[in-house]
Amino acid sequence: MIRTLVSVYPNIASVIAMNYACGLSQVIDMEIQPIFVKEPEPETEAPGVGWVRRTWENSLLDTERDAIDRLIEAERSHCANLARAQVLFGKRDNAILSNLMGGTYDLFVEGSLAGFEKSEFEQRVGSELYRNLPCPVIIARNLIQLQKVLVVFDEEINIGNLLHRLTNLFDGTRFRFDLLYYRFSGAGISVDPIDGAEDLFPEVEAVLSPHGWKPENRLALQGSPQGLVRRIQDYSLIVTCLPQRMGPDSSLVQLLGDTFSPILLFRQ
Amino acid sequence: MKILAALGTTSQDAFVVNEVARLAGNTWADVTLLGVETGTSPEIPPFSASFRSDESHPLVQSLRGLRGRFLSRFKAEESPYMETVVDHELVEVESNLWEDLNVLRSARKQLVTRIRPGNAARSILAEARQFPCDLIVIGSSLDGDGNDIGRICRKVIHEAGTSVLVIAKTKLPQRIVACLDHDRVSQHSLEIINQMVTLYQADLEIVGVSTVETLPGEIDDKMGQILKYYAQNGIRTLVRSVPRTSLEAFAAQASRENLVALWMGRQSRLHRFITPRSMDRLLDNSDYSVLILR
Repeated sequence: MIRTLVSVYPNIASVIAMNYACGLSQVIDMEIQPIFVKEPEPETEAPGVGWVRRTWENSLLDTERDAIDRLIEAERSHCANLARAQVLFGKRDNAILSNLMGGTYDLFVEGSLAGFEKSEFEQRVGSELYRNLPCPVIIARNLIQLQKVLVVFDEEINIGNLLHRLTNLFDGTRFRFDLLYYRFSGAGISVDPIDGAEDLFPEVEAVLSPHGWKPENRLALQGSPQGLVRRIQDYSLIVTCLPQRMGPDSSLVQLLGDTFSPILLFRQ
Repeated sequence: MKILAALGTTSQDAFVVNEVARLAGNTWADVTLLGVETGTSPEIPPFSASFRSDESHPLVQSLRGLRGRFLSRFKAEESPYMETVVDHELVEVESNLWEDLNVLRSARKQLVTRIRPGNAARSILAEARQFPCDLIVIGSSLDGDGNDIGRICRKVIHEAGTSVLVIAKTKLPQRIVACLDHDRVSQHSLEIINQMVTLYQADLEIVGVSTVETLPGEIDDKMGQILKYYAQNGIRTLVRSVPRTSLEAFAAQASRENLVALWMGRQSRLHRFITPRSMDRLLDNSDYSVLILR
């Protein structure tokens, strides 16, 4: 069973995250633990210790706790293993990382709305939380049911290693998926196949066969980020590695920053 | 639903009428086809009372042709706009006595054709004030002489108290991108979006306009409600957050590939971030329609 930590907050991103995680749990054996971290207001200083402090914290949490409970209860009917929310007080990313470092979770899920500037996505995947994640993370961006998955790699990603981690995480599960090797080139929205693409998938069979997995398609495409984003927009989950490089040089950040699909990221 | 379609004598009007007919067919709307003057020339003199008896004025001819086109989009037996249908219906007039009665049925929905001469924008607004409607539809090339395409549209957009659909060129969108910066979204406007999505078999993207750092709580809540509403209606809905300082650039980019809808209204401040000049550019440069929702 995959033990999954889902970050929740009373906002639409968390509705999407919970809904996505619960949707996954219907095809994958998962246990879901929601976590809500209430961050203190910057100018507020926590009073005292012990009972006084706990009372103060609880008073701040009450309104949001109700909203969180409602959010979770809305998903319970189609989510078999959904625990009550763990409620913590403090810096969000620190609390989540601390929980994940405890070693009991196989997957972390958080919601995030697509933005307009790629810098928002870049900031998130470059954050201390993401750089130190002990497990893979799903960034849930929209209410999209899991149908077909796309595993994406470029020259900087070891596809054998990525597939190995993917099959380990979802061992025993079958879903439809394609493989995509991409390369940025040109402008506009045209996307072209790459010649001689067979050599780009060297270790795929060796990794997938023992698990009984088989991609429906192996794609090798080159084009502009805009063109490639259009090409992958119908997949319900994009699987790849956390970008090693940030900034305008990172083709992976450019590709993932614009996609509407949920993204599953593994550390390389 | 009540639709007001403003039409002139341009070549785009046929496309506008087709779109209005499709929308009316889905919604069974009452429709007004309003002929307005888009400019005069030797071939198209100003419409005046003297033309009442002479029905050869180009605007009259155009309007009648467009009405015929509108009606032709419906099968006769299914059209809610057929004025008179003579039918026979077997009715039991007395116990055990049946009569095959001659029945006249009037149109189930209204199709009205009017002409308001004079300034086109003022004519459209006067019509909307006198006969309130839910949606005004105008073509972006309403001003047939090509000057200041946005002038009429902009005046109508800013002064009409109802939703306005500006139909641009003839491209059909794959996505409706609807932007909101407040939480007072009417059920009626949700329905219009619903109809646009159905009409074009398009995806829907809801864009929340955020302050510099975050999406305000009330907008976040409203987006969640809207997302659930469309999910329950089986419409694939994507969500995005755009800072208000980037809205103009975002709308310009989005309009190159999609139908852009802006939830404007009394509570909205979108007019601060999409200036009249940028609205002109949006209308000028967009390959797709623009929808102002109220």
